[in-house]
Formats: sequence, structure tokens, C-alpha cells
Amino acid sequence: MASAVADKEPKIGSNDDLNSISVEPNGEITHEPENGRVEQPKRNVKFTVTPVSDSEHEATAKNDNRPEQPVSFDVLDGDNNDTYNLQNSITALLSSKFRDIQKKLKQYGLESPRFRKRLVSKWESLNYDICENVLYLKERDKHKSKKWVTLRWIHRWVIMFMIGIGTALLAAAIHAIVENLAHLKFELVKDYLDHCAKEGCLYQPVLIWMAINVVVTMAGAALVTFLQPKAAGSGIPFIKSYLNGVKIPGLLTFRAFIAKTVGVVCSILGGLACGKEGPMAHSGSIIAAGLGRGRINFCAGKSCSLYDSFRNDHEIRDFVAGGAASGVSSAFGAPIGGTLFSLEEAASFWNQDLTWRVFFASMIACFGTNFLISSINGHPTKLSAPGLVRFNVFKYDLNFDLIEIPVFIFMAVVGGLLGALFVVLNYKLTVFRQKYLNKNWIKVVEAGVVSVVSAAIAFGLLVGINDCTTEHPSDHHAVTSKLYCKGEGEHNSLSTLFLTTPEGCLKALLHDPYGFHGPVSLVAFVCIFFFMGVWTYGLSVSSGVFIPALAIGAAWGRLVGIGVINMLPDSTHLQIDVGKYALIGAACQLGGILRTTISLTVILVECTGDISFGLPIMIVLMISKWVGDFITTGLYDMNVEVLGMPMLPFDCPPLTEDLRASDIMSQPLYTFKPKETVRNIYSMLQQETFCGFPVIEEDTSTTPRQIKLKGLILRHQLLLLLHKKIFCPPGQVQPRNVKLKDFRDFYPMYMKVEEIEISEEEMDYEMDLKPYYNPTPYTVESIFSLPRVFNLFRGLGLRHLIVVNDKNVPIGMVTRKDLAKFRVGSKRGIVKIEHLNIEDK
Amino acid sequence: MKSSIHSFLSVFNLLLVVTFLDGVSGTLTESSDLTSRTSLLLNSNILKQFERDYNLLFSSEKAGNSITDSVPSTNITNPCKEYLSKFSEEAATFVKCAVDKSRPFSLCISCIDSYEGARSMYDKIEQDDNTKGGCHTMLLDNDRVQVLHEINKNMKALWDNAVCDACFKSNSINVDNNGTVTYTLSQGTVQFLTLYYNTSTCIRKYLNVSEYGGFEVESVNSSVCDECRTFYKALNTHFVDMQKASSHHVCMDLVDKMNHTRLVWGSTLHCTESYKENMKIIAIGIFMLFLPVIFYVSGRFCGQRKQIKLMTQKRMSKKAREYHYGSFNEDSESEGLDSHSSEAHAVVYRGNKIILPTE
Repeated sequence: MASAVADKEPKIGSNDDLNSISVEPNGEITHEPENGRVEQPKRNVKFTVTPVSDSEHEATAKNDNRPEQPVSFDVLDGDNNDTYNLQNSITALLSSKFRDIQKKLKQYGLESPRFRKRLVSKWESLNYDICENVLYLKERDKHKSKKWVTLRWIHRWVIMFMIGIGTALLAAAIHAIVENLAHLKFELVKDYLDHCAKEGCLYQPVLIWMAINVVVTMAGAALVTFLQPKAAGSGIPFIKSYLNGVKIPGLLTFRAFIAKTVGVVCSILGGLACGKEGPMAHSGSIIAAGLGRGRINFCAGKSCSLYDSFRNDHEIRDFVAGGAASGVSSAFGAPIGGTLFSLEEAASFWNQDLTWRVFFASMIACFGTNFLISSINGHPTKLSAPGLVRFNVFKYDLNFDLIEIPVFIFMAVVGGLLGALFVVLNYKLTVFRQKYLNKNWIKVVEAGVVSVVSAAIAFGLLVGINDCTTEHPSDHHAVTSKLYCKGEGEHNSLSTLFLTTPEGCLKALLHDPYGFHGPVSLVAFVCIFFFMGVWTYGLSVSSGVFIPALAIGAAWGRLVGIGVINMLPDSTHLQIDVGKYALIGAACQLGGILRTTISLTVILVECTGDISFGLPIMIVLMISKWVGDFITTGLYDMNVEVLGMPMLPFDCPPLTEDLRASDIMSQPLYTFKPKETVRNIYSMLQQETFCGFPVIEEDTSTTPRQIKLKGLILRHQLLLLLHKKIFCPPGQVQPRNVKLKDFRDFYPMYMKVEEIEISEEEMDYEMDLKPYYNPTPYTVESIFSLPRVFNLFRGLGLRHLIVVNDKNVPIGMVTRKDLAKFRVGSKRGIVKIEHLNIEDK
Repeated sequence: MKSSIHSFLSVFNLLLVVTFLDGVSGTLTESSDLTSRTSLLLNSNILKQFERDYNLLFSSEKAGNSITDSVPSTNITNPCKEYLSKFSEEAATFVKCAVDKSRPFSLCISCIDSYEGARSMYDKIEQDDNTKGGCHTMLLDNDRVQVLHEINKNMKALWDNAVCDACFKSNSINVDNNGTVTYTLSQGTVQFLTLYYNTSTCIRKYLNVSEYGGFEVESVNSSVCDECRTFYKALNTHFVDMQKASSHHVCMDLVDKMNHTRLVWGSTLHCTESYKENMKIIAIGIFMLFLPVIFYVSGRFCGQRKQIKLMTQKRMSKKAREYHYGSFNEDSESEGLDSHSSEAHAVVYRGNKIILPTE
């Protein structure tokens, strides 16, 4: 083995020379087995982070003869190719075979690197920074009045108000449609079940059930898959990335709205294990973006435009934060929880004024939803239904005793472990889906398969576990089926769990009286629903994960509650408390899967309506997060990683202080002169994927030539200028009819350069970029350390950061992906820093 | 549950009142409402005291009579008295009938005579206002308890609760002046009773009807299921149709018969379980189990695997890592260290690119 290392080292070194990056090692990393790195083929080691010891580093600073020892930081990969003590030939043969297989497996993995270990190149960044070009300053001059500022301020608040109202309307509409249709569906199934249990024709209800499920689900899946694939899933990972500053084309469009809202109705009616709460956050964001832009783009390229003063990434992003908050708020009836959700999960740029506006929007959304749903229920002035899902007020006070805290902590640990298992299984499934099930029709069929199996399993449990009870369900509207139950007033206890939407199921688990659900049926329910939840999440349908997670947790929480009651003698008074354990279980499970603590605590407390029970909820959410984080990342973070989103964390990864801006920047740099020929611009846009180009001025009179940075021009500006034909033959005066309004009209810009037609004659014309480029771009010097660059970039929400040398000559560009490549994570208690690849997509 | 409690209460109520009515009706007819009220209020302890005072008070009229006698009955006219006694008769008959027919339930069809009689009598009393004999005021409006009204109300509640009117053809119930009741059973009821008769005669052959009306299975014989299934199914279908047509407002007589038949059919005879059907379900279940397996396995092997293309980022040469990279003073310090670096440290401006020398 040692000789192999020696053989390969120079090769790795020479190839890696260009790109390896030295990192100060810490204690944990250096114990990485040395043999592991040998197995890595040389061409794939391009971007590995290289830990170098202090002495080596000093040596590097002096001479350039740095020993290149690329070591993977990925502890989990476990490339432990232990050295074998070869005792005899058979074991030698076996071990060599074994090593071959291992090598092959590793090659297999390296040819397509793990999904979490790469960023996808198609995701671009948003411009949170406003481009202060000449046009902008001119327009600002026009509006230099206090009245204008006030009007704008009022306008923002009005839009936030409208966002709240819009979200509330949507929430109430979805609620009414889903509840009524689902009730009809399950009444039908129940009638057949009851009838057929006596007549012996049970194949009828199961076939009807499956047929309804598969038709409705596939309709929903087709809608999402073909109309707007970005509407799949809960949408929260996307919204999170968007608010972090990643540009996601199509995420906030009218099509996505239709696919999301109609899709979620379909998937719930289709009997999938999903909720409508996650999609509400996305729908709220779309409403917010639409209201912020003041324009709706319909499918056929038509649009109606009302106002345009907020059409830039900066403003839209603020509104979307409000929209996400009001979505969550109207889903759970939790205005504070919604605001905190937006803060914790999503927003990267936060200030007090924005907080107030977001809170205002979510308050309006909560109030509006309450009013509308109360009206639907027939008593509009009572305001008794603040959210879509409501844990309802528990009939008894949720008192807890100190002695119960250990039980809660135990449950939190279980929740964390189960949550991590959920994430791991779903990750494997997601990767499988990405690799193999990537055709649209297959995605639709897969959704159909899941829905059919959901119905079949639910039916199987109903019939197979004939758990009869005479207790009354907590919800008077619950559909209960007698099925095989014979006695007077007896009915199947699982029917309140399966003959309802997942929300109704959750409510039943929280509120049904003690003795309603037997342990056997609960165990079966937990197992089935857990796997159905894993299986459903990530389908190409619009679906949320909140409700299934809560339902799984509530079911095993109830089991724990029953166990506690049986273990403690003379504890009949505890029987009324079984709903309390269900609530704690739900909190543990959700915390274990999502790993957001503050907002979830507030949401759950607001949902329960009992502040005194906040403490146990806080404790269990905290512990389940810790336990879960020890094993994997949260579900949404996993999704973001699989999507390859270049997310910037709050802080720069540690141990990167010795990386310089010049190490991470993109190079060579493509630049324009202030007056540039159309041909140059056109071909540059065609050939390069860059979105920002520095504008430089070259003084050829002096030697050496002096290059001076004049500004930064963005790709979409150039595209618009080409599109509007703002150029002229050399020596003439260029048309000046492009106003800032035109840029706003084309926001968001998804034009391609190939779509712009420019004649051969026009190719030789010149374009004066002066009024359009941003003359004051942010720059850093090449010796800036990575943390400094990172903080500047993150803090200001930049998209392009120009790296200059000590003569202020631009030599490179730092973009989001250059920074997001360095990812820090901790698994099993070990900090690891990864250097991600970039996938071309 | 609630409705059953309610009906029970109302029956109980009715019973109490009617018993009372029966007991005192003799005296009631002669006494004024004052006495009936007071006699209700009194208990035995103060009864004697009261009797003394009472006798004292009314001694001029009928000294020495018992307490139940009262002021002269001149204020109650004969026709009213007659109404009262007739109503009491009918009501008492109805209550007796209702209790008798409460199990097995056949209240509606059995007790319609007395119910309609009592009801029509009450109607007559009600219509007998001041323009006629004035019995309405005298019998109904003169006290707080309103015995007749309450009894009538309770009877009606019992009747409505059992949805008895659904048994009969609408508007077919008539009461003539003599108090004779004529009615026609509705089409559905007749048909149901016929089917019920068929079914029960079929089932009865296999059952011992015990003394208390319960069934005991003579022999567990599955032939009963096969033989009676057509009857039972016809009965059940007809009942479900009736339920649907009347939105679950079926006369209680029929509901009770149906319930009973279903219980016998299911619990006693075990005719509902069908093993043939279970096989179908199991087959569907197994198919469902394999569906996802087939789907994913075929997806794994038939689906085109998506390869990840890694992008080579545009990166600068190693030399660029020098801190003074890009400066124009040719610093020869590092020159010897890298063989290709002779032309390094210069920014070459070619066309639109700033290109740093690559190795």
C-alpha cells in the first residue's frame, strides 16, 4: 500500500496543484486514515479540501514545493480500506477480490458523486443589492420628495395587508373544498364498507377507494409535473433557498400557484399521507410575489400589470418573506409562529421594519382565515377557527408534573431518532427518484402507485385489525364505520384514522378519549404511516410534511401515554391525559424531522392554545433537534442539498481563514469597455454563462498599460439593451429611450441571448454602456481572506464581488457558488468541512 | 342515544301523568282546578290541617264531605266533562298500548286507534272555544300545569319520535265523529311487512323461539343462510331503499323489525361472513403489495440513469495564489520555484478577457 501512495502522489499533486486549497487542520480531521485517499482517482480530486499541517504550511509559504496530500474530509464516506495482514494465500486472494469490489464500488460512486456533495450550476443568485446606475440616480432625482417616500411606505404596508387577505382567502377556499369533498368521499367508502361487511362484497369498497385515489392523485401529479414542476413537494425548501438569495425561475409564477393549490387539493383527496400546510407557505409566497410585482403572467404570455415600483429582487424578497409567514400563519392559526418561521427558516436579511410588516401580514392572514372559516362553519362573529389545522382546545388543562419530564425527554430522543430515520430513508428515495425516475410520465405513475397502495393498506388495516370500540370520537363529524363490529354502538376505531384526511386523523389521535385506540392498532398505524410519509414526501405532487409528521408522532405518543398509564397503578386520572402525550409525541416527531425549534415551539403552542404547556414542548423540540442533528441534517436542508442549491449559511465555514479571495475567485475574467461593439457583447453572452461583467477602461498611452475598473454590468441589462436595440453606428448618438421602467417591465428576466435577433450590419454598431452599468460595484482585494469575503457577500446580499489586485485591476469574480462550495456540517459529533463539486445542468 | 333517552323520558312522563290522571280522574271531573292544584301541592302532614280549614271555609256548601269535594261544579259544563272523560279514556288506552307494544316494537300500527282517538278529542277540546261551549278555556287555560296539554304533547312526541306517520299513507288517517279511526298502511310498509313475513317464516324454521322472545339456534346449519338469503336480501334492499327515499325517516316499527332480523341474521345465524370474498380481497392485497415492487424494480432497470456531469470551474493558475499576484512589478523571488512561471505576474488583456497565464 505504501508504494502505491508513493506512486500516485506526484500525479495527484500535479493535477491537483491548480485547485487544491489548503486548510488548517484540526485534531479530528487529521486522524483520517491515510490509505483512504489512495483510492481516489486523480481527476476527481480536483476540489478536495486539503488539510495541511502547520509546519507544512509554513514551508509552503516559503517555497512553493507544497506537498499535496488531498484528503477527503467526508468522514461519513468511511473509506477505510484497512491494511490486511495477509496470512495465507486464500485470505490474500479473498482480500484482493474484496478490494477489487470495493474499488469498483468506489469508482461507481465517484463517477456520479453523491447528490448532497454538489451544487448545480443552473441556480443563479438574486440581486439584493440595488444597481445604482445613472438611470437609477436620475429617477431618484425625480422622486426626491418626502411625499414620495411616505407613499412608498404606505404602499408597502397596503401590499402586506393584501398579502394577508389573499392568503386567508386561499386558505379558506382550500379548507372548504378539501373538507367537503373528503367527507363525501369517505362517506361513500364507509357506506360501501358497512354494507359489504354484511353482504360479503368487500372488494367493492376497496376498488372504489383505489379508483378514486388513483384518478385524483394522478390528475394532481400530472398538473404539477407538466404545468410547473417547481410546485412539487411542500415548497418550503425552495422558498428557503429563494429567501437566502437563490434565483429559482418559475417558483413564484401564476402557473406554480395553480399547480400548487389545485395540486394540494388533489393530493389530499387522493388519499396521500400529506397535509396542506407546507404548500400554504409556498402559495402565500406566490401571492406575495404577485402582489409585489403588481402583475400576473398568465399562461399564454398575456399579463395584466397594475404597478411596477417594487419590481426588483430586493423588494420582492421582502414581500415573499411576508407571504411565507402569512401562509404558515393561516395554516396553523399562528401569527407569531409564522413570523418566526419566516425568520428562522428563511429570511437572510432581516430588520425591524420588515419584521413588523411580516408580522402585520401574518396577523391579517390569521384573522382573515379565522373569519372566513368561521363563516363557513356558520357563525362568522365567533372567530373560533383561526387556522386550517387546529389542535382544538384540549378539554382538560394540560397540567404536567415534574415526574413526567423524564418521560418527555425519552420521547424527545425517540422523536429525534425517528426523525433522522425519516430523513435518511427519504434521502435514499429522493436520490433513487432523481437517478432513475426522471421521466415525467413515470413521476405521475409513481404518484398513482403510492395512492393506490395507500388505499389498499388503509383498507387492509381496517379489515385486518378489527379493533372495535364503543367510545365516541371527539369529532362529531367523523366518519365511523361499523365494519365487522357487531355490538350496539360499536364501531371500528381505526376508521376515524383512515376514513378522514390526515388532518382529521391527527385531531382524532390528539383528542379521542382513552381506550378509543387500542395499542395494536396504534402500532400498526405508526409503522404504516411512517413509511407512507417517507414514501409520499418527494413525489411529484403538491404535498406538505407537517401533518403526516405530527400524525406519526401523535400515534406513538399516544402509545407511550397508554404505556405510562398502565405502568403507574391507580392512575385513572391520567387517562384523560393521553392526548397530552400524543401532543408531545407529535412535537418530538416534527422537531426530529424538520429541526426548527423556535418557530415550531411557537406554532405548536399557538395551535394548542395553552401557554403553560409551552415548557415541555420547548424541551422536547430542543432535545429532538440535538438528537436528530447528531445523525443527519433536517429534511428541508436535505432537500436543499439534493437540489444543489448554493445556499449561504449564516457564517463562513471555520478553518478557512487562510484561503484568499484569489483562491476562490473565478478566473479568467471577461470584461467590457465602456463603449463596446455589439458583436463582442453578443458573442460573449453566447459563449459565457457569467451574469456579471466588469467594465474597464484601458489607458494605452502609458506603459505599462493602465487598466481601470469603471463598473459592473449585468447580463440581464445587456440582454435588454440588445433587445431594445440601444446601439448605434460608431460616432453617432445612441438612442436613450430606455428608462428604468423598461428594466422593471422585464423583471424577472428569463430571456435568452439566442432569442434576440441582430442583423449582421448591427453587429458592428457600438453600444455605450455608461448610463447602464453600476459605477460603484463592491470590490475586494485579492488578499482578502475567505471569511471577510464571505461576510461582505452575505451581509450585503451581493451577487457579484469583483476581486482586484493592488492596482485596482479586476482579476477575478467571486459569486455565490464560489462561497457556497465550502460547506460545514457536523455528523455524529464530528465537524466536517466539505468542498462541493459543481454539476453542469 | 340522545333521542332514545328523550323518548324514554317522554314515555315515563306520560306514564306518570296518566297514572295520576287515572287515579284522580273521578274526582277531577267534579272538582275545580283549584282543588286539583292544591291536592297536588299538599303532602299528607299538612293534609289534615288543610282539611280543617277547607271544611271551615266551604262548610256552607257541603259540610262534612271529604277534601276531594269542592266548590259546586256549576262552573264546569257537561259537554266539557264528557270531553274530559273521553280524552282520559283514549289517552289511558294509548299509554297502555304503547307500553305493551314497546317490545317487540310495534307501537305505530298497533296503537294508532287510541292515539288518533285521543288526538282528535284533544283537537275538539281545543276548537271548542267561547263561541261554542267554552271548553277550551275551561279545560286547557285554567291552570299552570296544563295536564291535558302536557299529555297530548307527550303522546305526540312519542308518536313523532317513532316516525309513526311514515308507516301510513299520507292523509289516509281519518277520524269520524263517532271516534272510529280509519287508516291505510303505506305501500312501502305493506311490502316490507310481506317481505318480513317471508323472511321470518323462513328463518323461524331453524330457530327455537324461547319463552322470552329470544332466539336460540337449533343447529348451526349453513343451509339456513342459503335458503333464506334471497328473502333476506329482498327485505334488506327494500329497507335500504325506503331509508334512502325518506332520508332515514322510516317508521320505527319497520326499523325495529329490520334491526332484529339483521341481528339474527348476523350474530345468531352467522350468515354474513363469506370466505369466498376474503379470497378476492387477499388477491387484491397481494397484487397491491407487488405493485410498488414491480414499479421500482422496473424503474431501476428500465429507467435511463441520469449521469451527473461535473463542471470544471474556471480557475486561475497556482501562481495566482501569490499574495502579490497581478501586480506589475516583476518580482523574481518566486521565479525559480516554478518552471513555467516566467511569464507570470502579468495581466494580459486580450480582446475582452483578462487572462492570467496558465501553466
